[in-house]
Amino acid sequence: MNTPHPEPETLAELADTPDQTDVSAGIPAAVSDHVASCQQCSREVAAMRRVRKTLQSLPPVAMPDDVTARIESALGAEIDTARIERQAGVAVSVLPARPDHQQRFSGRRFAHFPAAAAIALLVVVIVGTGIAAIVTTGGGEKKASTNASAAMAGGNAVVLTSGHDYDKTTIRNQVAALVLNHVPDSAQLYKGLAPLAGGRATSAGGSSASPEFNAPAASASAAAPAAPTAGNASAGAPNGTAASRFGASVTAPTAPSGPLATNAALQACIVALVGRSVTPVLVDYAIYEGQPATIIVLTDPTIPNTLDLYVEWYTADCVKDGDVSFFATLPVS
Amino acid sequence: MRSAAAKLRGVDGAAEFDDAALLRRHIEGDPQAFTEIFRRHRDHLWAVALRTLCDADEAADAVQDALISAMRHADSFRGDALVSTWLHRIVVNACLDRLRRRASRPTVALPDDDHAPAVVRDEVAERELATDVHAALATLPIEQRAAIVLVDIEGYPVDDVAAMLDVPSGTVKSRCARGRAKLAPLLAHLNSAPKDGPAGNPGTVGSVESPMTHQREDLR
Repeated sequence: MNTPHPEPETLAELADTPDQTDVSAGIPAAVSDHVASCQQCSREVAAMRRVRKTLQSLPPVAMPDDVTARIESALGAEIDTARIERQAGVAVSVLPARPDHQQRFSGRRFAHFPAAAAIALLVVVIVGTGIAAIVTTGGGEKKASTNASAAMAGGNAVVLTSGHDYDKTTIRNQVAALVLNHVPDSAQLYKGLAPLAGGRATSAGGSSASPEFNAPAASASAAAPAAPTAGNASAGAPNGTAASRFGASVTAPTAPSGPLATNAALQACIVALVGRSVTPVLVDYAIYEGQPATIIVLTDPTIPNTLDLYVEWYTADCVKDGDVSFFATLPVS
Repeated sequence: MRSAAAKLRGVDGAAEFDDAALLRRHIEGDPQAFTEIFRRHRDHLWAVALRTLCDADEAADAVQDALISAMRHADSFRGDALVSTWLHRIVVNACLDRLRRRASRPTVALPDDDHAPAVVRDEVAERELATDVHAALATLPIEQRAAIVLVDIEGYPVDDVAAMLDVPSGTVKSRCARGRAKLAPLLAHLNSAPKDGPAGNPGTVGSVESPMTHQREDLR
């Protein structure tokens, strides 16, 4: 045989061609003729075919569960790091407003947060599991309790119907005061809230003497009584009634109400937001920017020494769509 | 309540967002989007890494490093290829970097038993087949190995692999051809083994006379 042996690439192409006489395969006739007459090249082509067949016969492999868990954890930690970096130096993170005044918050971003980092507080406008009993406290606020009580991990949460009409510029101060006035041992646990709470001259109820804004108070029971109201406070407005930006006046809830009134709904919302069951520090069924809303404070599982605040209008649906009307962070230490 | 991941996947598991949309959501701050991309492609990425590196621990490290890098630099994705191609490219590069770093100590670590491929038919035979193939793959130059894994084992089209490896399609074909030629003698014993029995003795890898009696010197 006088023709040279084809290069491996050519033999490989021949091996990939079922019918070596198929001219459409682009194999030159000279090559086909050579291989047909060359025992050596024929063996090579056959061997290549066997190699491909062997390689293709390998069973599929699936990523082991432990590797999957490890990588998902690493990705979650990377997300956490990026989030912390974004928030560094930013005291409040206000989500961009949507035209319909509902901001869609991807609250499920917390789903991967490692539990080990749980030091901070989350203030959420929707809460709901494990609360004590309704107790009238100062400032016309009512400390409510749900029937689920201590079911939430970590103990009870304080549930209020403060009657406040929060607005986005002062809600941090107001919530800081609420926590200090109503959450046991909060003055020691969340020292960083005192300047925030004390810096506000007037309360949501319109009274500078309101205990929420004369923090710190050791506990809810230490709060000075104030005139209980059927109409509670709004910022600069009569308690319990707020002039809605949409026209009609809105009466502040006097009991847990709205889509997150039940422990089950509140818990579902929290799980949707943070990916797991977390006992909120405080929940307030009140008014935010003229609309009934639930405010939830939770211990942030990822950012130490930070209080996070979520507000959920009754018209939003954190469980289904992850809607959150407002989100902010507050320093705890 | 649907979980976040379920929501991203859509109702009944149907894809509500394609990979590109998920990547955009990730860039915009959706914390679940990139994890969903990972879940979609993890098995393929794992297979490529495991078979390229022939070491389960290194494969896990490589995939993790690659995905973290991809997550951080997601905004560098230009959209001129599929997200899956882009991810494979990053994983393959991570694997090749690791192979190059350990090139001075060319010991071959076979896959851990814990991470052996899941098998459903003949567990013993398939494990031995995988072990033999991995041992044979480990003898190939790393570029040939990557091409063989992607084209012959994982079944990706040559053009896609060319994009993953950032080389012309002809180069992929050449690497595959030369790789197959080298593998042929190393895997010949597998073809003579009974189909319903063990695939062969790993100790015989490389000891079977090659049918390639006139192999050219590999230049790549």
